[in-house]
Parts: sequence; structure tokens; C-alpha cells
Amino acid sequence: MLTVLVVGAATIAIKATGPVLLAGRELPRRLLDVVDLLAPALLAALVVTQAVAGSRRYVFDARLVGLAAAVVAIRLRAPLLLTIVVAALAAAVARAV
Amino acid sequence: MAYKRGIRLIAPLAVAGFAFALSFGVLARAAGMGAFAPIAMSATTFGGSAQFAAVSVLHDGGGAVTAVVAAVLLNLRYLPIGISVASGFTGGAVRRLLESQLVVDESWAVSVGGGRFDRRVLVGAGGLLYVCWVGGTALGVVGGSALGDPNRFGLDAAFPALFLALVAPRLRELRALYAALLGGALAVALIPVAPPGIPIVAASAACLVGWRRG
Repeated sequence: MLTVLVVGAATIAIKATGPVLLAGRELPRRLLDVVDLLAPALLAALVVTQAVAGSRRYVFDARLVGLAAAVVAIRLRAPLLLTIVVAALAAAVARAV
Repeated sequence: MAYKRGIRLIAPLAVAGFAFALSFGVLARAAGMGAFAPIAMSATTFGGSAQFAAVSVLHDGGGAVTAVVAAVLLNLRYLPIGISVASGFTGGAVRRLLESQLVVDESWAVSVGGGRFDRRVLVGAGGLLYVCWVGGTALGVVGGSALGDPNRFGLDAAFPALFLALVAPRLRELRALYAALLGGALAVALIPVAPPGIPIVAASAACLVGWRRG
């Protein structure tokens, strides 16, 4: 239970740092340009880690089939919901066969 | 309305989140955490990967310190993620503190998906995810594993697909494309050498390409 409380408290503090300390402040223009690029950098990292990461190793499995299906859906300008469903279906099918 | 938009955008992922929360509840119970601790963990930590990591360390007989370190490393990415949207939060410190807890990868991703962060989308999306996550954990703790492995339904592939779909519109912009490519490359390179979570934190360094070209 202590483990749970420590992890919970640490996470709450980590999540709150930016919004509590930095909200409503005027940041210098150059810094804003940098912060603006946090989103694409972090999103790309989430894509690759969710697609191929195991614990300290690469795992290539049905997730990649799902991701490939998502690429096709995005190129065809499918809406977000459809893209996600297509990816899950493709991965489920790849796993079943 | 923006709150509703957040709920609508996140709905398919909330289903997946609910399924993963169920399996978290089952796993945590099996790891000997009892009934209350897993629910408390979902309510306070509210971060799937960190919770699974902590529980699997405990399940494999690892120490509490190892479990804490693994979970905190995994959630460290919420520091740069929080900074990236900090300027969009409004209201008093307590309100910002509470709303910031609704930041998870998925709610944050849909709230910045339009190019501009909208905290109402974050609150709508994060609120629904929170209810599904805590509720799913509670059901998993008491109800067992009726659903089976959520990955059988390809739910694990839904997450990279979401993040890709959300970053895709920004890739037409050259600076964002560079940041995404560099961030992705950093994360891939670090996967085999760094503890889980660190590759994502390190990828935030890629935003520095905006410094020189700003």
C-alpha cells in the first residue's frame, strides 16, 4: 500500500508541475517555439514505443500490422475513430491467423 | 461543445482503457495487492503503463523501491507533456492541479490534436477515461477475468494508431516533421538500452530543433 501511495503522490506532482507553476505566464517567444514542438516529438515517441517496445527490447508483432493499417487509413483521410478501429481489427485478424 | 468533443474523440479509446483497467485489476489482485490498493492506485496514479510496471515488479517478487522507480520513470514523461500544455490551463492553482491529473497520453493527444491545446477537450476526454479506468479496475478486482486478454481484440494496436493519427496532420509543417522524426528516432534507439519510459522522456529533447530554427 505504501508503494501505491508513493507512486500516486509522485505522479500527481509530476503531472501538476507544468500546469500549476507555468500556467498564465508569458514565456519568451523562442521558448514557445520549442515547447510547441514537444507535442510532435512526444507523439512520435509514443507511436514507436507503443508499436515496437517490449521491456528493454524490440517486439515485432501484430501491433505493426495494425499500425500499417492505420497508415493506410490516415492516407485515405479516414476519421480518427475509423482509423483506430481499423488498426485494432487488423491486429486482431493478424493474431488470429 | 469542446467538453463533448473530448468525450466523443476519446470514446473508442475509453472502451480499450476500460478493458485494460479490468486486466489491471485482475493482475493486481493476483499479485497479492488486495482489493483496495489497486483501486487507490488507479485513482491516484492514473497511468496504465506505470501501474502495470509496478504491479509486475511486485508480482515477480521485486522490491517496493524497484516498483516505485519503474513506475515513476514511466510517468516522468508527464513532466514535458504537462509543460507543453501549461499555458492553456486557466483558473486557480487548485483547479489547475485537479485538471492536470486528467492528463494521460490519450487525453493529452486528442486535446492537442487540433494543433492548439484545448483544456476543455482535455477535461472531457480525461474525465471519461478516468471513470472508465477506475471503474474498470474495481470491476477487475472483484470480477475476475471474464474478458480475457484485451490484446486478442487488437486493442494494443489501437494506441499507436491513435498517436499516429494525431501527429499526422502536423507533419506537413517542416519544423514539426523534424521534431517528430528526431523524437521517434531517439525513442527507438533507446528502447533496448534504457528502462521503459525513459525513451519517451528523452524524445522530448527533439523539441530543441525549434530553438535554432525559431
